[in-house]
Amino acid sequence: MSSRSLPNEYPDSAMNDSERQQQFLRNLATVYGEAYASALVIVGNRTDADDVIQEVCVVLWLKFDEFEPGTNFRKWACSIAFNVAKNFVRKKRRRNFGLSDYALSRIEQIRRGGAELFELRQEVLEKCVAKLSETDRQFLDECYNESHSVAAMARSRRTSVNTVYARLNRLRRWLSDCVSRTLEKGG
Amino acid sequence: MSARPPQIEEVQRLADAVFDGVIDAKSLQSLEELITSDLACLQAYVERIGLHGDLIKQSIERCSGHDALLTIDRVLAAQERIESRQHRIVYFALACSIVILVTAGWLMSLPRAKGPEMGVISNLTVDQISESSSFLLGQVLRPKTDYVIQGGMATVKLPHAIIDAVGPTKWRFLDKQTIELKRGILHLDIQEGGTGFTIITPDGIVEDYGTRFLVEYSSSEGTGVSVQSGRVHVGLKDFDGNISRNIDLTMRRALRLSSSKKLIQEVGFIEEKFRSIEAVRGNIVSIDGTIRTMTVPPQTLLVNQHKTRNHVLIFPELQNVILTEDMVVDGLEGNVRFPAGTVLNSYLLHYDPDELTTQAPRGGVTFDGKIAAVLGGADSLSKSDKKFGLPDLQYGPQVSRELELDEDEVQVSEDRRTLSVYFGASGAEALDQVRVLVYRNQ
Repeated sequence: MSSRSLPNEYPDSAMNDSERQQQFLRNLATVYGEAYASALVIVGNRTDADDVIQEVCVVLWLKFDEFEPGTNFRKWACSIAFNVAKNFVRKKRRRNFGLSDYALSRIEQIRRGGAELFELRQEVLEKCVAKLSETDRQFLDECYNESHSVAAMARSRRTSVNTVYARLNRLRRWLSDCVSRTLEKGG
Repeated sequence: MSARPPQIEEVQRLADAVFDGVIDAKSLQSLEELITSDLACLQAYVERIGLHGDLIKQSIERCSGHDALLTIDRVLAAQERIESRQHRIVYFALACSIVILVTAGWLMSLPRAKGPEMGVISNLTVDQISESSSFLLGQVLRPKTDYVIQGGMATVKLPHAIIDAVGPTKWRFLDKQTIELKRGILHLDIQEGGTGFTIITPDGIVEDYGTRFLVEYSSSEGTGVSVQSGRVHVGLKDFDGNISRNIDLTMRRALRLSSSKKLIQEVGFIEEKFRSIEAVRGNIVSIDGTIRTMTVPPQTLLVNQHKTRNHVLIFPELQNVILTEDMVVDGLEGNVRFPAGTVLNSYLLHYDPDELTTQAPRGGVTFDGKIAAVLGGADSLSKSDKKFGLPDLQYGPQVSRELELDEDEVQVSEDRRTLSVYFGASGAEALDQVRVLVYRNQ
């Protein structure tokens, strides 16, 4: 474990630095995936989501003293992730292009309103992934793991990016259908 | 399988394009319209992006790539970036205020400054995918802008360096001599006058002392440095961003460094990392027009087997071929005699348009050495395949590969470093191939 200290903006806090860090990291580790997904649904793009989640982590740490113990850390973190992601998209839209504020607010409504359904979809997706062959699962892991992007995979397999995308899209489609089919049948 | 309404399918396709970072402005507009006018489309979009998020989450969990240490690294890296950005914003605001006070009226009439030119895109592979929209040949890159290439390869030409970015890579210029690598792989060929060129990653700095080297960075693997020739100076950052250890790295050596693990460790040099980049452009300095390189060499060049819609493909064949005896080739400019001991690099231009090709391609390619001969006849191509062609590539004996001199044009520049081509696309067999032999640049 790193011996480095996180920057402490609140030296008078009742909890000492080490305890605060440990508690923060424990909380962050449990909600990291959720926060990432919350950011991703707004920015859409994985590269941007990687940038946003770093900023989210910083904001969460800097605001950690505002978090009330006993309340829902997941909800609090996801809410911050939504806001950081929305600001990111607004800035990006000024430079380039992006979805409108109206579209973003609608996306957020759907995501918040259907939180339970999305959790259910996530559970079903895990079962659907488990049905894939080992080869397909490994392929999927490589595609969705940061250090094994589609382009890097194409290079290592000495094939074209299009070929990798074609296989990936077939898997995405199958998984999407599997989730919908399972939910229609009642899970 | 349940039937999917076409609109839902379209939204899912567009959501995938957003996630993969390959959506263009027009498609994004179409997505905006669909998700703001139809609740089912909106639901489908959120579900699809959610699917990607869940797959990433599961992948992270399965691959054990995410632990508390990594989280700390991410927080710290982001903190440093934000602080650095805040400082830059303050300095920039101060500078702007002074300039505005002094020359306010004059400045108001000027277009917005975009920052000085750092480099120019000089080579693109046909499969390059960049963020939002494609890079363009000749595109000027400026400081304080993140550049992202998702796939393929882009080459940036600077006054004293040639830099290849291998997708997926994200980088930005801090100044003319410094690049911040945020993820991916940069291959650098530093030329005379470029000594001191520096690459910065979250783990350290890599300063050049006249060389050809490669730097790679990912948040999970840390920073890797490999030197093919010459020497670089590598500094490991400590937790406060100060350099805590220095190592000089010489040719055919590699090391890995991680500031979070306080690690700087020599590892095995992998020549293949450089070969895969050399296989894309060899010693090509720049291309223009509709000529493109490619990251994966073709398997066959028989007619109709490797189509090139609206572009001409160029790829390096054998490099540094030392002639063991005198050789005469039948070039487009007449016979050329090479004495034994001559060292040549070979390149092949291949053009095989399909039925959807809409324009006859034209463009130029500039090499780092002088062009020795250009071969365009079927006989001279076939005879030279064995000597200069790639061993695993099927060239074929077909006559149709030769240039039709009534409609194809090939010109060598006065300094003999640039070849310009124009290939016509008429006729039943439009396949054209040209082999270019280039003297090795000493």
